[in-house]
Amino acid sequence: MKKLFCLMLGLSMVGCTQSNQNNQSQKEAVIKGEEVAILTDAPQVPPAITRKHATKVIVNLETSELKMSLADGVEYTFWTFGGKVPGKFIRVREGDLVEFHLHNHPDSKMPHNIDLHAVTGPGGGAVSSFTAPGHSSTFSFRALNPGLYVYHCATAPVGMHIANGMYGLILVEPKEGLPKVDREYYVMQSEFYTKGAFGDQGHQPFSMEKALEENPDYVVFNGAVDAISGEKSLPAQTGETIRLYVGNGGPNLISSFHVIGEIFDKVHPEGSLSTTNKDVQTTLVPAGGSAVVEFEVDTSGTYILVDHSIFRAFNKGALGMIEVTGKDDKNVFSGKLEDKVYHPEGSTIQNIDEDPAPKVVAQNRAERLEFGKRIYDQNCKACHQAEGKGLATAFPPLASSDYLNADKQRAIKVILEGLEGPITVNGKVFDSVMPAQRLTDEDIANVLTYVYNNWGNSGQNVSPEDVKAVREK
Amino acid sequence: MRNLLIVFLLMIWGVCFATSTPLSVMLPPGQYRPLLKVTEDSSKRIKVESFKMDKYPVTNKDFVSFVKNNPKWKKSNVPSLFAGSEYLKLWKDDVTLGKKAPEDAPVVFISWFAAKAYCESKGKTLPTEAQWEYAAAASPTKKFAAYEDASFQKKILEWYGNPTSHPLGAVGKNDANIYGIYDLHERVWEWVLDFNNGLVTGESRGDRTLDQKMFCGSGASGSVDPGDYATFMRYAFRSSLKANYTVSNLGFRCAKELE
Amino acid sequence: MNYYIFGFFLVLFVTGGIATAETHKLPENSMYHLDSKWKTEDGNVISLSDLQGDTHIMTMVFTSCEYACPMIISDIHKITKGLPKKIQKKVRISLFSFDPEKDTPGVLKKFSTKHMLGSNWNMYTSDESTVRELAAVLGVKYKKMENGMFGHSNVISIVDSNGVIVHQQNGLYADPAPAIHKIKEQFE
Repeated sequence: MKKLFCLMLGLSMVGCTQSNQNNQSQKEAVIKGEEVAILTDAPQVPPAITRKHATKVIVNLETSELKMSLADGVEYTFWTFGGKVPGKFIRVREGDLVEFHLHNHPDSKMPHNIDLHAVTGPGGGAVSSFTAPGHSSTFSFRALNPGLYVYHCATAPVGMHIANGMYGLILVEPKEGLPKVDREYYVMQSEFYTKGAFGDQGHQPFSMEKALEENPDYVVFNGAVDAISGEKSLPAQTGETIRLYVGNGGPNLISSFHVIGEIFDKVHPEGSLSTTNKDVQTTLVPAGGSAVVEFEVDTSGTYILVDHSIFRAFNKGALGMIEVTGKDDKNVFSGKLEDKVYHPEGSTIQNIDEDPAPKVVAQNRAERLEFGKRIYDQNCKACHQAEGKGLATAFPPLASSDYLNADKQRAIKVILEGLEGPITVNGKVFDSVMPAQRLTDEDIANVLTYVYNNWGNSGQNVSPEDVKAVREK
Repeated sequence: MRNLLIVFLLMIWGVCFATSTPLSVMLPPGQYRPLLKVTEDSSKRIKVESFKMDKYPVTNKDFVSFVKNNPKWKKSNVPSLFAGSEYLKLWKDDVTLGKKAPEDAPVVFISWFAAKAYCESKGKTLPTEAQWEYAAAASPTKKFAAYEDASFQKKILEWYGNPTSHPLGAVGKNDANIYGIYDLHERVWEWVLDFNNGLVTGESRGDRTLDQKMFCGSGASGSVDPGDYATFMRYAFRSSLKANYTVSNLGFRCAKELE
Repeated sequence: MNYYIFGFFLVLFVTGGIATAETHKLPENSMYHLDSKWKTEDGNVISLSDLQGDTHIMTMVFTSCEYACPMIISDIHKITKGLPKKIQKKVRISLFSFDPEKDTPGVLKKFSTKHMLGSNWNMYTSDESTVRELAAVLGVKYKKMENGMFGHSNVISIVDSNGVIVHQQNGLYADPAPAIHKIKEQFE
């Protein structure tokens, strides 16, 4: 197909010719034997291919429509390849003949098909695999070009099939194989457009309006908020090299993929294994595209995967974690060595300690709650989230929080002075840093009263006098 | 002479009344908006003549009595040309319903041939796609809610977004639409007579223009309203079918042209 | 007397037996299960199942078609030309019309003469419901347009002597080789 295209245009570009030679040899690769592909759910990746010849690979993939969790307390009806979002990871070798069987579960409401970007042929297999509920389709293709490719459903309306979760990755390994690494993981970003806002509880149907406006409520890795964080963080040991197969199902957004605290030693941009960029901080992963990134982890700790379009990470869920344990290389990273007061321009200018005069003072409890919400939205919400649910293992919850309700004075103190080090909230350990908040006594009283009187908390009131008392201790 | 004429008219009326079951309703003539453009002018509507349509989808009970009278359509008799191996899958045997096939629930796992034969046995036909879409454009309060009423569209879309689970509930439990027809939405997909009229390839992204190699046809193509996802899904669903397919959430109802 | 009765039953049994045996001979997926009546270009009424026994190349057309239908016919020629002479004579080509209104036997006859269709070609016309059923069996999608023309998918089917579709060629200008191969197989 590509060759034809080149000939038709009369082009004789080197890249084109080379790729043709490659394709030509792959088309003619001798097929030896037959095997059934091992498919894995994210974040797992099937084992590397060790055989040195092309073979016939049989892929069985089932489409099904299932109610699953999109976030804590939020359900969504996902349309899936293989029962999970993202779909099963498929791994084949350059030159392989792939016999693809697409089975559509009898309980599906929709017909489905598959467009594999690894296919050279009309629709990437979409027409040949168009399958009614309770039926199966078979087609085959040659894996001609090595690379990491997205596959997705292409049944009308395509946008909705993708928005509901129908995408995954297929890796075509080059015939010489990929360099050995210690760990490989499968991470796929995508967005969800729900009737309710982020965090709204219960079953959330798809919102077409938001999808058209490209304004998602959720941007997530591996199909749900916290799918790869907390207990489900991706494990690694110090000194190991990690390879991430990163896909972006879209349907709309381009990802600025970044791992906080890491530099990618190697990136195969856009999933092209013949191209290698080195020393990359953030790599773009287009909707319907991919990237392969590799890096060595030298220091223990939590490395956070984000879409560096950063509001997606902190407000829509695009956050994952790699949990690295083992011996640290202090040579590479020292950790914090010292903490002391910083006086700019010598020490002549002191911090202004006086509270700026409060503009408005709450006259009653209702006003205290109202003003408190404003303070909360401006100062607290980014980390503790709209409903005080907190975020992953990074930010503890304020909703129904035993830690908060146990001690009012302590809560005031935390806001005044900040908090560092491990604490246990509702049975979970959080070990992070909250900076001191520069708020007036009035503001702190308002925001704490607001928090205490919402989200299942104890209902206590906090007055500016309470705050003053703690401040003066 | 005049008396004779009246008697004659009364007879005709009587005959009509006797043969028409009270379980169908008459729809006025009108126009419906096709999914795909019929001409370059996307405001073009398709005329639908007055016709009768069943109030409810055909139920398991209805279909049991049909196969009892037409043993050709029993599970054990029907050749695979007419119905796939899953035909009436939820039934216990040829004429007994299973736990997952309540009497009053719509019959599913039914092929186009079987549905067509059922309707013909009642002196009716399957509705055409135009008739079905015309009737189904109506909400309980508006004739053309599907084109105008975003909340109606949204409701339908939400149903499409959820998988089916058996047993299905009884027909006629939701509100009837403005014509008095029940369950066109939010129950099961329904066969139409010309389900195989879709000149699409399953490659939905290319179907904006007609593939001249695959299809003989002239003039315009492309959709009238690219945002009408619910209709898109019905067309995609129909185009995935073959006449002997039987599907877990696909049933049917009958219609009748006026003579 | 008893013999008579016995004889009567024997006849009944034998004739009944033959009838069932015949329908049972058909494979489950045979298109000849269809109860489908057609008129030929000569005005003769036939049942679809009368076509049993021969290998057929089947397609659906309408005679007022300006574009694809002549191309389909030329695609069929490409298939038949690729066959050995002996098979060329034996394979039958059946064209079924989409258009119950305009395609009367007379119109079919004219079309057949104009396109110099040979003696092993036949054209058939019927009513709307019969056409819709056959299209469903042949996997042909079609739709009557407002201008009276038909939009339809271009499918050429190779049907064996039992009425089972053994091969389909989709789209115009397709490579005739697989179809030729399948037809040859029928005569092996």
